[in-house]
Amino acid sequence: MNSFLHMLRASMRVLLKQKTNTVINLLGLGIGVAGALILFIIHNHFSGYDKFHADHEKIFRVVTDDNHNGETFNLSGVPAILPAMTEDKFPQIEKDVFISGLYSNNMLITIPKKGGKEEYFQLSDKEGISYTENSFFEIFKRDIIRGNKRKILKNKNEAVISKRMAAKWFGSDDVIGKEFDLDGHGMFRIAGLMEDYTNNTGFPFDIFLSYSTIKDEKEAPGWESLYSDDNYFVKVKESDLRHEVDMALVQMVNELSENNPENFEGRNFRLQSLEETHTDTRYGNYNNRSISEGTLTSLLVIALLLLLTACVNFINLSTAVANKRSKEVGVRKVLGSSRSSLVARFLLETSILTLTSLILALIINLLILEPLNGFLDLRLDKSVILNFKFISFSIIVWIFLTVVAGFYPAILLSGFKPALTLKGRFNFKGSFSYNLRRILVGGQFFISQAFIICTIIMISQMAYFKTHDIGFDKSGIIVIDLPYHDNQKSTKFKNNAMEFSGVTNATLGMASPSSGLSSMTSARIEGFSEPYNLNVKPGDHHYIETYNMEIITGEGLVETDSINRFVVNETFVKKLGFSDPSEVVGKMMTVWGTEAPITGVVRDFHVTSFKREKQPVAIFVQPENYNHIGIKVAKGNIQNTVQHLRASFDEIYPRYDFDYQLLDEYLNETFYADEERLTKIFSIFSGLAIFIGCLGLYGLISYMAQQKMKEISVRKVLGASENQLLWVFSSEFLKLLVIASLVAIPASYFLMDSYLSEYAYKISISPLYFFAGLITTAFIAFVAISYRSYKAASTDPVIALKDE
Amino acid sequence: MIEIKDLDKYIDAKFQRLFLLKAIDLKVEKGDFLTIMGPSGAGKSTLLNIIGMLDNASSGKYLLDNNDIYTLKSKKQSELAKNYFGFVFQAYHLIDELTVYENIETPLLYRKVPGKERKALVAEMLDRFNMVAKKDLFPNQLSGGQQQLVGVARAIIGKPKVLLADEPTGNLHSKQAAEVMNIFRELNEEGTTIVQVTHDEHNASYGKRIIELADGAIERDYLVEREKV
Repeated sequence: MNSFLHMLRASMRVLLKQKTNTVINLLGLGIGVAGALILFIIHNHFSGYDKFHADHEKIFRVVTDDNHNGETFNLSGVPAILPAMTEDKFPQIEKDVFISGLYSNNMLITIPKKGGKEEYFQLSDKEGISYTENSFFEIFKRDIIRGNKRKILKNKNEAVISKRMAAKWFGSDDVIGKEFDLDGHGMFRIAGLMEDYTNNTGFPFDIFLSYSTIKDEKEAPGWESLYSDDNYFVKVKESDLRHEVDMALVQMVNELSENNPENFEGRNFRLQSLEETHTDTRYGNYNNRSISEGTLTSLLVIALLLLLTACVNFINLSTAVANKRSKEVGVRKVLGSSRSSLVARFLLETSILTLTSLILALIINLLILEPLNGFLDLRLDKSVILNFKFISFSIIVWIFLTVVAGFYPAILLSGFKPALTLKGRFNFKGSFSYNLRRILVGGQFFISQAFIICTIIMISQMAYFKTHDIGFDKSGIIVIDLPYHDNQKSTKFKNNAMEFSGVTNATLGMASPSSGLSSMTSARIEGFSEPYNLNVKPGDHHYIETYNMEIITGEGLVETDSINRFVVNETFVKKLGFSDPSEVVGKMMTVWGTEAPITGVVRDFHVTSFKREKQPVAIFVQPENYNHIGIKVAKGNIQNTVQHLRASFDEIYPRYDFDYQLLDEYLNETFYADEERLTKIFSIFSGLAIFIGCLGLYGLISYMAQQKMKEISVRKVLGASENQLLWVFSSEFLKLLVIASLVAIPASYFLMDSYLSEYAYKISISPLYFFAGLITTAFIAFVAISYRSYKAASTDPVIALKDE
Repeated sequence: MIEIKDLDKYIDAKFQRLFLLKAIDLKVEKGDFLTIMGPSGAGKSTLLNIIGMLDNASSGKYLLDNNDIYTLKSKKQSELAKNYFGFVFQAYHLIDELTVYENIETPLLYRKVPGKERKALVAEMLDRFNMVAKKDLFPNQLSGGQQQLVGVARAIIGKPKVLLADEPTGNLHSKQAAEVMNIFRELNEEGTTIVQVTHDEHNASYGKRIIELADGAIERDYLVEREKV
């Protein structure tokens, strides 16, 4: 113990004495570890969704896969009639629950008060609302604070609300028996109070309504319709019964399709684990956030690379100061120290540094948590850091760092021969150590280059998302979600809007041409026996003009009050197998039970993000579905138009709050927010990796400068200029850089190729990106090299040569 | 005590073998005070390092109290070295990060001497060299002579049987040098065997016996005439 204290004291003094070295080491390690831990927190958060439910591995969602003409449409929802079929045919299922989510944004809650007064609350999209059954609370963990857990949501028009809502609406927990009116859905009586939802659940609901209220209505269309927000969860008796249930579902579809072939053509139901609802990006979830396994893994890979590059950096720096330490090693050995005690001493020194940097990293993490929440739209609190699991992980990282970063320098330093070091004579050139550090620096060049190339490509793809032709005009368009549809009011709002001087056009519709809200249906077309899946875009007769779509052939829409004609797009034409768009004009088509002719074809546009292929679309007038308005505004008129719109909105919808978005911003947010975040994360962390790499480079050059001091001095005495001496250093690094790029280029090519393969529309990877990566790395390296080697090259040769 | 037989030390260069020491035969008895002299490059330090087991010979035999060193395992070798030798260097080679007290204490730590005993031994050493007031200073706060005194104290605190000194006064002026040499003589009188390397004839006169090296071989081996001092 006593000798340990001795060691500790000596180590501390060494660290304090070599300030520059210690600070560089701490920075490199601290930043690397902080980055790695943040990535671990993010990974942990996203992989921890819904893991807190008891038996979560036994809970599955039933999803729908529709195969039509060689294409598969993946839907998170099932027809509402499905649960009724599983009751006696599926002995594997222990419990089940149906959830029908509502689009809560802008919904108005009306609470009757004494004396006939009313109070209004408008819901935001964070205040989720859905219909569900009592069994929800048996399958999922959500504590009921008040109310009878066994009975709630069994009767019609019952509701359970969260503490958050109770506080907002009533200012207390005493809510049982109170009533509220939900925007066109009727009156509900509060029968229970529940905990707020946690930030790692796929069920972000503040209000549950009893499903029995709408059950009959939902089941009425039978197998014909399904909605992505109608999710059906089952809890099976054992998790390995999954396959058996899948088979039973296939069996069920086969039986049903005998009487009803139309509704089951190409259709398949299957189970999806609770975890997959968060990682399979083809299907949505209530959280609107799926992160693929690949992305999750890549977070861990980046974390590991950061740690490794920090270790490499550390090794480079600690062996770089070997000269300074060699005397001490010699003396201690002469005084009787064994090699193992020297190794222990150097490891102790490393562990002090790594521990300090770990603490530094934890402090950085605590400070960065708030900005991170804003950036990633999360609600993480200090408990993600100050918990047992995370702290133990940090300790593992600490041990890992100490061993990986400290072991090699310790072995190297403790191996010095005292007879040589005490005379100041030793040289690594050509030795294992010299080659190892070349490999290490080569490795850092590799990591930096790969990071730079990947970042450039990801940023380019982001730019492509924003600038690539979407097929219609998305600029200068204000979009507003209108309150629960009331055609008189919405028409009045539209007509008002069109009178403002800055407004050039306006259109009511279900959604904009490209939108997060899209509706698929199967259509029957004259002359084709099979139905075709297509995307429907109800909109009024100004729809095509407002979004500036180009009519290729035929005619657009006309003013009417129900479906009387369809306008389709080019993809639709191609899907049917025609090459000339005019061939479809005049054909009869049936959508939503109404038959009407196709009168025109518009140029193709993207209905959803560039991640997906273009879809066949039908645009038609159908006022029942207008919940949305798009207003085309002349340049420079956005701000004053918004003011006019607000005044008009407040007059027509006095109980609602006015909220608007610009269409191009809305599209970026809806489709590319996750990519944008991922790209930002990647840029930040590649910046960190590059920074750490620079520190390591600086260390290596310092080391080389020591090694080559004599060579440089001799060359200088012989008349070499400073620039020629710079070359002595630079040529060495240039070689390493080129070798590293030979590995980095194919590696980043494969990585980015698989990244881009998720997108249907993407940039092509040109050699320019790789060249840019090489040049950037070379430039950064050159800056680091120049400074240190210039210093070395300009040393007075007399001093350097005097030692001998 | 020390017996070296037909010992060579060489370096194999590309086309030739470069001898640092050649055919050395040397006996050092217990209680001797031997001075190794000779011009630069004669192999003085190399021989001292080999005696102190910091370096191994290329061929030949080295017996230390009848232990045939080169047949022993390296662990046993370092065990012997630890117990037999103390070193004093021309450049002092104190550990910069440790105080005077800690520098002197270090060898005891490696010998696993218990704390109480360590304290007593270091205190005794500080007392003997009049360094009590300076015990908390760092080496760079001391003069060269004081640093060498710490070096000597550190070398002898482990009670080595042999004290090896490589130009111990090379960096000191004459008054400081005399102080160190007097201490050496005292130690020798108390029974410590001493082997020193020096250029300086005056320093050599403190010893009992001199060997002169030239080109890696022993040229002369003679006793110091006491009366002259």
